[in-house]
Amino acid sequence: MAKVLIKGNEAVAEAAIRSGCRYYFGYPITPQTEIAEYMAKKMPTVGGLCLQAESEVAAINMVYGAAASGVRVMTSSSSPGISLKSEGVSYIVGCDLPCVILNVQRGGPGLGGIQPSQSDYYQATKALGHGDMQLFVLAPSSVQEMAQLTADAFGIADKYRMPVLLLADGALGQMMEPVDFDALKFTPEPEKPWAVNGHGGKRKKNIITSLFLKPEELEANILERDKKYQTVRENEVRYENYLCDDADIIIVSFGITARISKAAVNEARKEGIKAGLLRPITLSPFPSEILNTLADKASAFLSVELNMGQMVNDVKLATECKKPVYFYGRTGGSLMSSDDVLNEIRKISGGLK
Amino acid sequence: MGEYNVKGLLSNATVTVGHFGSGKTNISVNLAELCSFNSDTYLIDYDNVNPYFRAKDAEEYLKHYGVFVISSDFANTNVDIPSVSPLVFSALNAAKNGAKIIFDVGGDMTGAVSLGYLHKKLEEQRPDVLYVFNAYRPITDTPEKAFEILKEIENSCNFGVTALINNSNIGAETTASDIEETDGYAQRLSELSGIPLLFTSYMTDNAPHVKGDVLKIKNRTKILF
Repeated sequence: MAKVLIKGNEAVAEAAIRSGCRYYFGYPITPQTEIAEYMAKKMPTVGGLCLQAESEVAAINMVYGAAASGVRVMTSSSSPGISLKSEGVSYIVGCDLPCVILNVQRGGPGLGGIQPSQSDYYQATKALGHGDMQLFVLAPSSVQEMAQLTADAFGIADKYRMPVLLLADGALGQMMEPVDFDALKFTPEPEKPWAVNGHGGKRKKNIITSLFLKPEELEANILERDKKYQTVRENEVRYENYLCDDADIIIVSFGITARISKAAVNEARKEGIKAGLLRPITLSPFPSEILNTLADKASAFLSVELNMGQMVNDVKLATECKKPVYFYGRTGGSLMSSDDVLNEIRKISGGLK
Repeated sequence: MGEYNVKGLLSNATVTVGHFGSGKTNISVNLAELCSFNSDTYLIDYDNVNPYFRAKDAEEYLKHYGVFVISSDFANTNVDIPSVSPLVFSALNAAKNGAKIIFDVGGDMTGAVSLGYLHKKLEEQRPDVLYVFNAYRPITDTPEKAFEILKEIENSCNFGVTALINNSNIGAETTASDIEETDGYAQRLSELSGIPLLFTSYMTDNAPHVKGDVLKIKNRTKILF
């Protein structure tokens, strides 16, 4: 299999299997059901397990158990289903377990709709679960990247013993693009001496729990985990800098809207407007440092999102509001066109003169 | 090798089935456009499985050719439930009177199952049941796997496939030689199944050199950005 034509959802599933993931637990929901279909077909052929749980709550708790036993495991869902998983995600964080979770976002709140959205940005980056916790959040923007970031997610999850959330959307999940799986880079699975997989009387027992009987112990545990988050912030930030270095107007956009925005940037450049695109690939940790640096040179920022304005606030924090930060978005399952984004660039550019 | 002519379709009713993502919808839209030059044409969006890319997306485009697109009242809305438009039965009557009707069926056995519902009425037309495949789709990356899916679909919809369409491509970057490389696969699938290859589709500037007919098609898939 050199290049294949594949949906974003299938690309995640194939990349997960190639990354050594042998356990998939999920519950169907549009627009990500192809993952379960793919896993159901492929997992038995590689000695793995694909199990349709009775609910999202059950699925995430199966992930919790499998992760505790030290195997590479994943689950996937779409917005309402991800909300259901939040309690389990918090337990997984509290136990410092690695796993991969994919959210193929659709419109919300509530049952919402089945068309693409980025309205779970807050949920993904701020609080997918209770407690002092953070997730590692990756935002792919092509089908090839859906595959590569899935492979990366397993490596990161194991390295830091934390859940990695892939934040995609219905468009990325459903659209088909050529993918070269042979070009993917994988991180080998490390030894997991902490796993609860039977000590056979040969070692001390491992205990995995998120329960602490004394508040001081819990505090110490959280402080210890916070050091890990600090290391992640220092070492794992990823972004794509597209024509930002000489740009007046910098679009900040992730996922599918970054693709749309890139086309708008190209058009703006043809009109003589110096536009650029800063595309966060990690949403958590957020690429704050580069944005702050760019804010010294650029004249304005424009956050383009499929929601009512969520990441825009992180852009304001990152740039310390040194320059105006504008927002443009569509929501409820509607996509903007590159012309729509171009118009916003023109408006800002006109205002700048 | 020659350019395929849709006049070669035997029945007034054509059904496209196949693995999801094999290109059934794009083939159906192209066939509808070509048929519209010879007869009244109805394209029936019979995909009850995938709400994202479907024949209804081409409705505006096909209006220019006088093709009437029939789809579920809920197609392209947030109502994620399978349903069949009653207009399907009007189309079946029209087929009796010489109109061309094309059913774009949902992917895999899951998508094909609702076709069984129309079996009695549709069987009267002795439809051309076309199995669309793309050798570059990972689940059907060998003729044997494509044949497995074909059999699952036949069992699920209660119709036998009458012809194969080789729609192998890797999107916009496909070259004629990418298609030519799949010719052996297509011949093997035809041997395995005992079903003839109707044509090989292509969007490239140059027609691929393959056994049998070829058909130049256009990309009528919904463009997201």
